[in-house]
Amino acid sequence: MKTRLLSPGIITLVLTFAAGIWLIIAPAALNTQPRGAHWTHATINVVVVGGVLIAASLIGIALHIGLGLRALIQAAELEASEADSSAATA
Amino acid sequence: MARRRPVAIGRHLWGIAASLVTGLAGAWLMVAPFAIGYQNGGSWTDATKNDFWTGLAVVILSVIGIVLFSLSVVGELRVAGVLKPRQQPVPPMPAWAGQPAAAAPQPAMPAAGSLYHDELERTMALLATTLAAELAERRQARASSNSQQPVTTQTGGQQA
Repeated sequence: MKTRLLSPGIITLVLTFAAGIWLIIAPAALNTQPRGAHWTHATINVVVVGGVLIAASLIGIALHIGLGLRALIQAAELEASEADSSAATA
Repeated sequence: MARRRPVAIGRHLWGIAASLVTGLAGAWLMVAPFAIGYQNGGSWTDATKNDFWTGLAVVILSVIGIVLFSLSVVGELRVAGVLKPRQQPVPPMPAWAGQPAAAAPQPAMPAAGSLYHDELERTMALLATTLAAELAERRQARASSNSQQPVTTQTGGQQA
């Protein structure tokens, strides 16, 4: 029985990444930040939280895929060594 | 003796951790207009509406993510034999049992999403097998070059 490389949960991290991008562009897109003026508290908050969302989701996605690939490699190596040992004993 | 298959739940735990962080960020986004004070009573401004609804969506996504990653952890533990496999209920005998093969219903085609997922899985498994073979070749080559080096270089020189 094999395991899946990607958990379905990774889709939620991808959507969260998209939400982070939206938060960063939202002040400009919704015109809640006056052009040329200093950033308001609302803009600073939204951009920082958007950055946190992007960073967390990217780290989660990268670690999930990276560690999944490593597990696949280990499983393939294990199978190869078991095949070698069984061929040697035969 | 066969080596035991390693339990790889770390990647799912990282997914849970990332979902937790994003859930906290989403919750903060929902309360920030009132906590920071850029929503001063009255009807909600555009910034407040955007923050609240985006924060709510992020919180819901993170809860779903935590549930899905947790289910993946459970599945991984089942595959590794740490948890007992789920008992499959025995289906009742279908009405067409015992009839000719033509009368039996044909199995339904798998959904397009599952086909795509299986294709992706197969590609990633192929990639992993190739990487593992390349790693094994490199290790073999390194081991053979080490064994061919003279003793003086092994003791005095730097190790490869």
